[in-house]
Amino acid sequence: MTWTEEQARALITDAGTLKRGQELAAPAKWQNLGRTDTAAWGECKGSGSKPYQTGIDLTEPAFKCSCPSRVFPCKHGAGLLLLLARQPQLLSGPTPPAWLHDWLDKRQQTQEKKTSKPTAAAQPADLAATEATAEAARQKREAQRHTRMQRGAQELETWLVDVVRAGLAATNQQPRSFWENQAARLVDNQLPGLATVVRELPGLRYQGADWPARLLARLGELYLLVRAFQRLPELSEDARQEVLQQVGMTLKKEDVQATQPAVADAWLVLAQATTEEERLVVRRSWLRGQQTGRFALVVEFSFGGQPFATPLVPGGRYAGELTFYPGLVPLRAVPGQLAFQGLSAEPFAPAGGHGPSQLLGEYANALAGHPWLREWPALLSGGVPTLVADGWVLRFPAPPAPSEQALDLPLRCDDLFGWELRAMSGGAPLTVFGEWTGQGLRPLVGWPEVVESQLA
Amino acid sequence: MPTTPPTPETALRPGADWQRLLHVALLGTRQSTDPLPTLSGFALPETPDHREKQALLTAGVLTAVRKAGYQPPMVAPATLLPPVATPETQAALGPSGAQLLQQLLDGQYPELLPEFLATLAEHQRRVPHHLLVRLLDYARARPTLHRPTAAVLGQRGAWLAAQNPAWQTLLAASEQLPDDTATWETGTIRQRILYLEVQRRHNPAHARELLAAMLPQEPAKHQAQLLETLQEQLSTDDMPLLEQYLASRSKEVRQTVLPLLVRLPGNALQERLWQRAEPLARLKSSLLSKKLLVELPTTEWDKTWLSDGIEQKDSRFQGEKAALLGQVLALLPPQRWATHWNLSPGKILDLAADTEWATLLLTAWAEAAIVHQATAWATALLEWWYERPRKHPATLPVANLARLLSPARLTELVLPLLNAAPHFSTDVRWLPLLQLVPAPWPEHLTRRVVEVLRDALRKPAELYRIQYVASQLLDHMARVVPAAQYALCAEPLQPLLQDAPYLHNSLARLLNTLHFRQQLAEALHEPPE
Repeated sequence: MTWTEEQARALITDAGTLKRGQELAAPAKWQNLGRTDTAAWGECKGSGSKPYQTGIDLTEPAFKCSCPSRVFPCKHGAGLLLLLARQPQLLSGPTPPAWLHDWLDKRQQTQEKKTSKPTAAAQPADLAATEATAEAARQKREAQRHTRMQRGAQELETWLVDVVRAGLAATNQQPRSFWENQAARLVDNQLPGLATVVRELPGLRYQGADWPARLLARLGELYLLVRAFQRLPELSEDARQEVLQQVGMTLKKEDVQATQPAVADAWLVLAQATTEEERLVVRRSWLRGQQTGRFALVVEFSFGGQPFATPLVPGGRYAGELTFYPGLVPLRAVPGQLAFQGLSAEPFAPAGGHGPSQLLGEYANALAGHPWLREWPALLSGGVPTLVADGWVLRFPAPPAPSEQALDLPLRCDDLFGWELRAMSGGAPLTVFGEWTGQGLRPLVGWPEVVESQLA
Repeated sequence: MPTTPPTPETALRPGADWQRLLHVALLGTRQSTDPLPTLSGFALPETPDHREKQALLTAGVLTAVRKAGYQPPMVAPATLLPPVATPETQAALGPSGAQLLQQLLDGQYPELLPEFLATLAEHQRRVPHHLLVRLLDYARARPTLHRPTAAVLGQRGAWLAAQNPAWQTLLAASEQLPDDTATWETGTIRQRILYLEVQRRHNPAHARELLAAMLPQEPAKHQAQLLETLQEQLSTDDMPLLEQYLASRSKEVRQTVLPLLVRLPGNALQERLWQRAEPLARLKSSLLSKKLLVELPTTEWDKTWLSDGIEQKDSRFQGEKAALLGQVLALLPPQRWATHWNLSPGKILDLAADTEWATLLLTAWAEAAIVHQATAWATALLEWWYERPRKHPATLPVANLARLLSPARLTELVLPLLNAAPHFSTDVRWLPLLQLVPAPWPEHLTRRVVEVLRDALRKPAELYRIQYVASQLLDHMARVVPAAQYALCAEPLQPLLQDAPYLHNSLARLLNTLHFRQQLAEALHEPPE
């Protein structure tokens, strides 16, 4: 299996490690490099007298290194992985050393233990009584929490009413604390989802001259959410779950997997976007089921250079189950056991791209079911990335029918990414995958209709 | 959440309703008494704060309606046909080549990028589409990369760069746009010089005419920069223009045209200078020995000196009259003395060293050798300089002299010195000269230096003494040793890397750089994906 640079980089969560790994992705400091189909290894000269032993289990992939770093992968692992992607011929040793064997065996044992654990967990009968008391306590806590949340929602409603009474123009003069205090109260009342929305409000003022319209729209959505939350018992099960997640009730992954049906498919990672805040790295991966055609969003977090729970890489194919969070339009999913099936070698666009009217129709339907939908996965084909006065758009040329007209879908991306899409297109239509936000498309990846290598 | 769907007869006017609502919301319900738009099915019960709540609810509903009913802007038919890129005519870099280029654009081995781009163009290869934006963005702020970048863009890249004002200057640096007269008339000085250089390469006479017409309107600083372009394809046709500006009132302009003028065969200036110099340096031959007799000019500096390009003062030479002689000697072709006295350059240098004006003579002849690109003199000067320990009367511009010689010629100079003292220490005489041997190093030179290095590395305890000089040498080698000699360096040196204190990083950098350059060289012949 060959790894590309991009895929290798996707496994290195920490920017500093990537940089130091780059410096180590050269042959001089390495000895005894080797690989098999499932593992790669090498010894890297460090500051100590003994070289560090670095290994990668490629089936996962997972990293091991004898250096003292607690970041995974460490710079040696990162360097070895990049070296594997760039110059696999340098890893010429065919026989794994003993230390690697030990590690791989140990890994396999823990894997087996993990999979056998759920069946072994039989509950002795005498625990049932304590279970019942615990359950009662839990329900009591739950009830208390709900009361507190309802009180928070009530306060937010009063605050919103005050904002509208005083007028949006007046909010321009408000200090930071005006928003922060309200957000903090929501956090205290265990409504962190609502708090996040309130915290975003003051920033809207800097997003353009039409900020009052944006602010009003956001306040209106927030109010709909508050009202829906106040009438929680009257809602359908899906709507209740959705509203609870929107206001900030976190569902444990295990609970999602225990209560929701798993969807088995062959999943392809279409795109990944990583953002970093403080030391927290958030990675959003969009997957698509090859049989079901379903889109799934896997959001994962990594703190301080720890690896993500699932080592998804762009273009990776995985067989296994995803479990979708319950809600009105289930998109976000928890990965179950995913078996890595290799990398999609095809640079071709995935099939099933839509035109703009189909996308907008689908989106309107989704929105009818879920008015707080923030983004909708869109696989669009036939658009030409074009720069117009307001920025980048996907321009869809007019079809031959005389009634139809050409139209533009705005792209929400930075200027250079617009140019990259344009470079890829050569002025011809492109297939683009991205997130439709209701006002524009946040493009994540593009595929040209004709692959470069096939150009004469 | 109200679930009653709006009845079909409801006249929904989301645009107009939204504007009315926004107006009320901006002023605030306390200020504005305008009626709120009504949405049937979304009426709230009467409460004291009914009006505010109704405004918020309507805002929420209308927002969803407006998102769901988003209408993409229609495009005017006239703007419909975007230009399409023409098919590529060259092969793109292969996958590993693209990978290497990406590493370079990430900032690794930045010193290797310009040369890689240049060789890419020589091999008729282009940058693959997915790296075009990265390359253009990287090269944009680095003027030295403009020309090599423009040559590897392919059809797609040229098409792309032409659409972005920030990248158009990059295309202007290539020779693809030579007839852009607007650049010449209104461009910045840098753009105009670039334009003139291109013209000069293709049509020197035309470039000279453009230059002659433009110069009178330019400030002296620009005159000097523009006149410098004449060194490309310099010919006797340029003599009248150069002579005209030798009389310029600006020293900068005079000093620019002077070295160009004296290089032209049959120029009158050289004759006038020879007339001044020849009586001042005489060779006295007796039966047993030869002696060089040097005198300073007897007359003071006056305007006649200036008309020959000789300034009253020159920081290269000490003393007023010494400066006059020094400048004259620095302009005359040094070969002329060798012919005149029928002596080899080496012999002349030996005689010069014995005079009281040794510093002046050596400095002036070194300058002259550089102006006239006299390789025989450059060789002699370097040989004389490095040959044996002596009290040096002057410092010579050794780097500029070395630049006149081929790597092979310099190798011939340095190898005997190296063999005479085949060990590494801070004061070995071959070290400074070795660091002047440019790329590509001949194999036997690399082999010998690696042997010396290996011996040094085998005594790790003493490495701290040579840490600085050795790491300097290793860095130089990373640039000048041909990539094909990677194995020649790596085989003996890599095993020593694990136990090479002080030099560990420099040595790893040398081996990695050579290895990387070897991969770059291979990428030129890699088939495209």
